[in-house]
Amino acid sequence: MELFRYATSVYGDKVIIGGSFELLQWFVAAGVAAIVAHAIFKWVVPSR
Amino acid sequence: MSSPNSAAGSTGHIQRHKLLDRIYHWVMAACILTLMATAFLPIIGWKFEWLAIHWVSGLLLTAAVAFHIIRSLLFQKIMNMVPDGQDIAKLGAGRTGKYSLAQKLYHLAVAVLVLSAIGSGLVMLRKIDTPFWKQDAYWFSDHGWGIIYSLHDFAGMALITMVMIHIYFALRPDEWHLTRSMFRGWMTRKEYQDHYDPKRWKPSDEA
Repeated sequence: MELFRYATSVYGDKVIIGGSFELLQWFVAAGVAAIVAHAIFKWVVPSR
Repeated sequence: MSSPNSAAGSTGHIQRHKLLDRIYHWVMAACILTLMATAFLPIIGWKFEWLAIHWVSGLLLTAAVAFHIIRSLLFQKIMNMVPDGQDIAKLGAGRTGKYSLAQKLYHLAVAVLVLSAIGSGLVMLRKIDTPFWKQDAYWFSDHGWGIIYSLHDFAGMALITMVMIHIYFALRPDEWHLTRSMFRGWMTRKEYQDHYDPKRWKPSDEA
């Protein structure tokens, strides 16, 4: 998995053209993980 | 300085968000959701003409955020949103100031991401034709544009995480008093007494 998207310039160089959208699923997974972790925490630790 | 009781007035309601701030919040929400939909739906396969909707929403968000920054700095108590020593000292104590430490840190993270997306997005406007200007792709080198696009892409993807967390908390029953206050502007006196330290948040002091 790449962190960036690349293209080839007119001079033949590899250049970054942006962030890799393969990471999209990981940002969604991070949101799900944070939500699940908090929900479990609130379930285990009784509210004051 | 009056007491929270007098701020409640005859209705027994404690004002939390003024109408202007609620309008700002919902305009920002509409812009962010539109920007995320126009940015990411085409990537996952839903093809449509997204670019014009995206940059117009971006300019609307820019204007809304500029309004919010000016209003916060000149007309509101910005320290309500800045983490301070009491947030650490009273961590886990139950009642908080107007905003909890978690809310302040969340706001800070979203501010960094939104300002990064806006800053990079405004520069990226130079690469498209609009009714107001023609594109000029030579403002930066290929490498420079790559950095700007990467900043925009990472800020946008991270905002997905942040929006998911925000919606989760808005839907949690123990946070409904906050969600309702973003619609109605007020919370009940009991909700205020249950959740907030009157020494740290005096609604009557609000601008």
